[in-house]
Amino acid sequence: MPTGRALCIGVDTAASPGGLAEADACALADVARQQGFCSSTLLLGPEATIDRVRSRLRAAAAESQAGDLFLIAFSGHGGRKPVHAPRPGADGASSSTLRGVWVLYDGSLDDAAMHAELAAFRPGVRILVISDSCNGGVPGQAIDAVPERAHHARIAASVLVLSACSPERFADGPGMPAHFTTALLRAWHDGGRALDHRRFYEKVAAEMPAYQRPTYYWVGMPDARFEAQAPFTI
Amino acid sequence: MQATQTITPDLSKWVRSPRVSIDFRESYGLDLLAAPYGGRPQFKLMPKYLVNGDGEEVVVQFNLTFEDGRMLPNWEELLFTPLGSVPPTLSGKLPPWNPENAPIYSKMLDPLIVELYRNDTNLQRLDANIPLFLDHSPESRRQLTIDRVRMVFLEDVVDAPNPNFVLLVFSYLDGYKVMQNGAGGGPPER
Repeated sequence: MPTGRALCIGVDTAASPGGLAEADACALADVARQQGFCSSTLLLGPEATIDRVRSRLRAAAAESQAGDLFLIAFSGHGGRKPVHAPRPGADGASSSTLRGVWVLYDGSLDDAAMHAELAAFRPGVRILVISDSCNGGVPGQAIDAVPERAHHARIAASVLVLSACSPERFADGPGMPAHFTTALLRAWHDGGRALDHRRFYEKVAAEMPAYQRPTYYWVGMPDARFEAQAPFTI
Repeated sequence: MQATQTITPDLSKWVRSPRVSIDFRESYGLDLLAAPYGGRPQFKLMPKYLVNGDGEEVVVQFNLTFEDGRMLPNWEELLFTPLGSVPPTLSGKLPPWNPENAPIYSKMLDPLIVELYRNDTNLQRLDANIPLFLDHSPESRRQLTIDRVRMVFLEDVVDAPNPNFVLLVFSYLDGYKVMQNGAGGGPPER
């Protein structure tokens, strides 16, 4: 029988005072509990260190079997950090390009670290990532396109990402029209629990103003059965 | 009886090296730390003095100024106040600046950047609030956003003829709520 696990992360900084990102994480952890997830880990503020997040991801990878569902939710700041990339057409030299990161309490979690953690999950595990931050989330979407990182392990699990905005775009904070978690929860409570993932995403997107379009994409192995299920369904 | 200890910030390094040029930029720093007419963003810190109880002139704050086109207009006459008591440090030395070293700069500066995002940081720094209009949505273009800017002076951290480095970090403080933040920095010079 499949099992559901959740890791919900909320990190407020000076840029989001008042525990608003933490409130997002708590709200999504509540949804997980209501949906019968057997474990729901909340990492809020100072608890949300890079080591602790990675450790929880590793534990979930070790515990999750094919068919299980793992929810990763992040609310907080996203940034654009330079990473090494090959210089087009050239002589083996490198330059830098920008990739998205999640800003945790003690540092930034980049796509390479996230990719490495996601690669540890077994084939057949369903992973739903809800990323409410600027820059379109950080599940390592394009990392295999960087040749010097091509040796990284491939992700065998099915990772479906719902992200607050497109890469290199901003995400509204709580209280604003395009606050992604608010729109997502509103869609969920307004009939979204009966929809498949793609239609649920379209319902969330319809709740958002035109200036901020959420994104929907796969990392690892796309899974049609997973996509046809309702969100948060074990 | 315990003596009261007064901590007076040492601002001499800012006075000695008041001109800062920006080389490294990331996140919203790519947008906010920009020279409108192109080239390297650059500013200068002008000391503001007060006369203390002994009749001595003492530097207490800094006004930011710059040549036309070297920074965005938001930065003009920004008033920076010294705060904090813990000297900022890095885990090692930064290599000489080169765009190809940007990922190294990003990684090594990252712990300090997130420390400077926090409300409760006690790092020695200069603090100011910068007004801006975000080009994000119809509302954000009209509604004022205030970012908190923090600037730290890192001594002897670059493996280069000029071993010093100034790091600027800013994040949302008030106004239109967008989950943006950013950083940038470069060498301070005489």
